[in-house]
Amino acid sequence: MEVVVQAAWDNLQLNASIQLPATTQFIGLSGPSGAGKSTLLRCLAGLTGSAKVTGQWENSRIARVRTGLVFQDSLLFPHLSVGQNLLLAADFAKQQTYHFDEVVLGCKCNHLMTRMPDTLSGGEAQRVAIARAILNSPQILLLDEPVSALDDTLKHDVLKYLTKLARSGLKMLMVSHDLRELALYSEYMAWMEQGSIVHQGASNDVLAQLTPSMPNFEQQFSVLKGALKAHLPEQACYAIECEGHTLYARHPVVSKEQAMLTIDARDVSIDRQEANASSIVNALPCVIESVSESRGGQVMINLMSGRSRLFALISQLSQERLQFREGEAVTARFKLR
Amino acid sequence: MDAIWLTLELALITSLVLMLIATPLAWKLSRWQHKAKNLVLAVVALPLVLPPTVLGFYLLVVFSPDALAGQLWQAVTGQQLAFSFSGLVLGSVIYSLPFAVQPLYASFIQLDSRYIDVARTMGMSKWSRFRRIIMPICKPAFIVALGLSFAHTIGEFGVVLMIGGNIPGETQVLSIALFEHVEALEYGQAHALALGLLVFSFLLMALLYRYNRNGVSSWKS
Repeated sequence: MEVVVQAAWDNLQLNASIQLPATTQFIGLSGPSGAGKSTLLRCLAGLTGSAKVTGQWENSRIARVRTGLVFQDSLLFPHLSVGQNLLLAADFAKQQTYHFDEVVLGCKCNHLMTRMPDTLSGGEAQRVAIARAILNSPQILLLDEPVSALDDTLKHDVLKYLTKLARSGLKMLMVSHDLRELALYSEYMAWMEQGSIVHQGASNDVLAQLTPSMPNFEQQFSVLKGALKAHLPEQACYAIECEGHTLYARHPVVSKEQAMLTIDARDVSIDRQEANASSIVNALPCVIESVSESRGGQVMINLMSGRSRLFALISQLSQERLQFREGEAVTARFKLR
Repeated sequence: MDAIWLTLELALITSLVLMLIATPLAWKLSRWQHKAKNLVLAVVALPLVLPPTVLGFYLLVVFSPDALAGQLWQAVTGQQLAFSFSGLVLGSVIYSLPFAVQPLYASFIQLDSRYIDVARTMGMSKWSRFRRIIMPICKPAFIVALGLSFAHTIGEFGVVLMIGGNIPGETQVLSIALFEHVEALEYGQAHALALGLLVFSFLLMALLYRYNRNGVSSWKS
């Protein structure tokens, strides 16, 4: 399925064509600020009369599809309590696809029901806004930075719940600046620049395409996958088997006994010692694939461990002292997060 | 006594009719982007600055049986429009129009239109959006518009005098009755009416301000 959105304003020309594979449920959309991501969502939701939106969705025109839109600002109706906001959305749902209490629990809103919107924190309001959109039973859920105000734990909990809904058949298109979020949760990803989709495809492929053009090293991260070995509640983490080694993570994304985690390049240190005397718990033997030119006093080391790629951002001073070279075997270490 | 009931009846009917007219007008104006918008706003606001006698005079001309509007009214109702209660209601609606339109217009302008967008994506009809979202969020403005229209109609004089004259039980409202008492040097009755109007107007304004203070104007940001 392909959806084409065309519109023109004084400051933005939108000509975006997104493929929505039938098998893909959770689609990520990212791009620089001002690229037109939020506008694209508004067009898809039918809120922009001047936009031309064409495409098919399960035998009906895309313009006739019932879409739910979660704005970046939660926009809860201020005269209604949280519970009343949610009930109103459920009242106007064409069919009750989701169980009210389950959605409330999934979005962690159960303790907020009697509160008025102006007493909620940004993160609480975002969770209620997501629950409200789901309870309205849309066919496509459009999310504009829906978890930007949530702390890490809640963010992962809510995104895991959304992933569960996506697997049960709700198609989602989520805008996020956080590529780590999209790498972990979306199966398909589109990258937008100046009103057009410039890259799209499986999330891993799009991220690989984006890596060379990342404006700065700080944003670089890698995705590791492995089999889930154990949940360690006392240590508040999970053990994951990756490339024959055990790694630990607090918030991996778990699906069918497979776990995924993202690792920021700046969180990775490398050394030549095999014995682990460091307080950093995760260690992965790697081979250096490439060493970048220095940029801003920093050097990016591209590492491979079996079939897994890892980036390490080290200072130019360290590189001058240790002289890491291509093909060298090293140990990459990163903190448990 | 007749004058009191007549005045209250006139004020009530006028303010209700005004709410029906001013709400769609203020909404349309708040969403309308056109060069002529300022012109329309100026026309709506005209009764604020126009001497009531000027407005009354023109209305009298339009309502007269020789004018088209007056003739049409007479053909449909069989009654004359000038110097009738219906004529008073029509005149009062025009005279108090800005007092109803302006609070609503200001509120609608401030209303974040994305609330309406959310309601649209939720599948709410236009009427549902108005009844369940716009009206409750802008409730303070509706109450102010209703209160101001009512109070302003209670206090009108010039327009009533021009188009209604002074027919007891038909067009003689409180302000006219007061004027008549003064002309007849009946200062005791004049005092009673004047004080009654003063206290009533004060109480109404105090109530409106109290409500507005408690109102949730922060919603509109």
